[in-house]
Amino acid sequence: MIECPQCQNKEYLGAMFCSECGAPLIEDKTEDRDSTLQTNKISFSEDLARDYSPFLKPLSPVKTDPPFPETKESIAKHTRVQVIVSQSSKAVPLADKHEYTFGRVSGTQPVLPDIDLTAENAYILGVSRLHATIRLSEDYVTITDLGSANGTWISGKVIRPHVPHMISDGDIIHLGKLQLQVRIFE
Amino acid sequence: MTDNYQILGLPRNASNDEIRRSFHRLAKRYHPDVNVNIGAQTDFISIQRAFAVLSDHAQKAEYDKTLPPEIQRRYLTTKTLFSRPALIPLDEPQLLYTLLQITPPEGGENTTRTDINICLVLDQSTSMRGIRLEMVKSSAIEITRLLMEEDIVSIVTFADRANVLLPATFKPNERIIAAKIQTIETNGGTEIFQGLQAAFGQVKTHLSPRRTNHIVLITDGRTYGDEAACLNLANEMAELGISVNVIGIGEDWNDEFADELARITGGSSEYLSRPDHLKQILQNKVLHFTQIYADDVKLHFDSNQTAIVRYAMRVSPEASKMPVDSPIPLGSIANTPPTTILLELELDPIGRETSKVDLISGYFTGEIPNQYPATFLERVNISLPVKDSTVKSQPSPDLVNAVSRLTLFRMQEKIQREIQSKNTENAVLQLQKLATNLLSVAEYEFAQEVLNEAEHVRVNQDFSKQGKKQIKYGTRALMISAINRTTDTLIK
Repeated sequence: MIECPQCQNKEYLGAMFCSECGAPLIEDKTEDRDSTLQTNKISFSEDLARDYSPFLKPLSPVKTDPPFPETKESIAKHTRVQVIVSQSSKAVPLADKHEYTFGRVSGTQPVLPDIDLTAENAYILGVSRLHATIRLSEDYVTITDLGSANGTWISGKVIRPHVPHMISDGDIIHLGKLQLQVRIFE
Repeated sequence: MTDNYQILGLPRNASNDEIRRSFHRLAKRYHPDVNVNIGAQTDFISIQRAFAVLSDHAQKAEYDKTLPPEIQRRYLTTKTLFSRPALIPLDEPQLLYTLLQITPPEGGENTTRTDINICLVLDQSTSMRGIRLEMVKSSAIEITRLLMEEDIVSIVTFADRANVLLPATFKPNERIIAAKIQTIETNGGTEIFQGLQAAFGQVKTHLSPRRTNHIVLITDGRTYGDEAACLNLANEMAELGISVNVIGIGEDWNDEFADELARITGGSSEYLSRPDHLKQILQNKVLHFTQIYADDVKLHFDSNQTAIVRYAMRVSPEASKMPVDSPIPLGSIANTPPTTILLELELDPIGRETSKVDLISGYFTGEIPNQYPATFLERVNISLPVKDSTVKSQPSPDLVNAVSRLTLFRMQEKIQREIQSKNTENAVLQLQKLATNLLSVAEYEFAQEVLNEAEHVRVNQDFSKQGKKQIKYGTRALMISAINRTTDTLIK
């Protein structure tokens, strides 16, 4: 039997796609597939999460202040929500749409994410091509994992795919191993 | 000079059983009690004579001595693609996918138009009133222009009862047909069995090895209580090589039932949300009928093997789920596009001493209307070696694509089951997964539809009226686009 890396469903050897979630089970060496992390055992059960301290450490000074392209005040005016990539401190304003898809661009991919994280080593860090969506509504902000290969975590807890989860100001999000911080300005 | 084996469409090494079965199959079709065709009687007599000789042990031996050496003839070309180049020894079951592409043999393609024996079965129930019936009438009139003098045509209308509007006849003047079609008016309910039975009566009297036989049913309603009778009838039709093709208009017709009718008879089923495209669909269908190389093609295989067919899907020319038991009715085979089927095979545990596993061993039967004798039997044997070392190899993109789309179709089937058994929460989750998968193959609009449907199911605990059919026939249509791109890459 083989196990689906995405939903742990068991299939007979020789199966090419998971019958449960549709994830490909065949090795595709064309590099176009999502990189399944070798450290796959970080399936965040509570115990493992504790052991995996470097992962959870609220990464070295998460810069919530500049370098922003604009002053804090002016951002607050235009931008309610920002996502900060922890490793590069790059801030991504989410302003003119209600929905943003995060992922990476590779090869012949037909659907492009709104926010491309390729430059942030997304492939190595296990970000799927279409990994998660952040939705902005009047009163709250939610994140939905799109059935990514390595999962999405809010503050160290893996979230159920395809179900929107509320996020609030300061939450640390992991797309695979790529760390983001969410800022919501009221 | 045609010998007795050729008349029964058999190779010389045919078993007694095969000889008997072939005779029965043909005798049923051309028996003069049923068949009023000119020529049916002589066909029947030659079949009977051939059987008399070949079924008698002593006579057969005598006859065989008089024959010139057998010329090996090819009736079909079968190409295969596998998900893996070899199987591995394993103490638990393993899966294998294979794409079978079936075409006329090289140089043997159909070069002339194929004559047809067609019956149109038109729903005239009250719900058809207005634009629907008008579209049906104008489309039916339109396609009579595609018919030729050698074609047999009949028209049946039905509501509570069936009415033979045009009894089976060589194609009459178009104006006569048009005038008859114009008289159709709506009344009453939808009793599909009545319609099919009347159609069967028309088509079966004109079976001929020189024509292909089709019933085209156009309906917008659900038949109540007579489904089982219809399916029994479909089995009878399948035996005689008559295909049933269903075109369902709107939301109310019973899609499972229509799919089943088509599946049994090797026909097709189609969903039209609005009647606008009816004319084009009908035209394409009739054009396809006239380009058929081999009709009523069935794949018979030995089912006591180590390989079980778990799932069978025709990918081309029309996507359709197939039965998994022998014989699989493949329907008709034209020059182009090729007929392609995707099989999921489950293999029993394989021991280390095994070096080769037979996947499919059996034979094709069918009729080639533009050849005489038309009937044929061709043996087929598909096997794969067993190798201990796992050879790493990339399956062909065509196969990967086809299996990927099949996965989507089966997710849809699972959703239907979840909703039927009232597990709506699971169904919603599955719909969302389906939507994500659709996004990854660039089906944005479809993905959005599926998400909307997920919301509808969450709120109403059931599919929306059109949602169920849209998702089913939408995922099915993806099958065709998966394989359409490249079919020359198949290896022999």
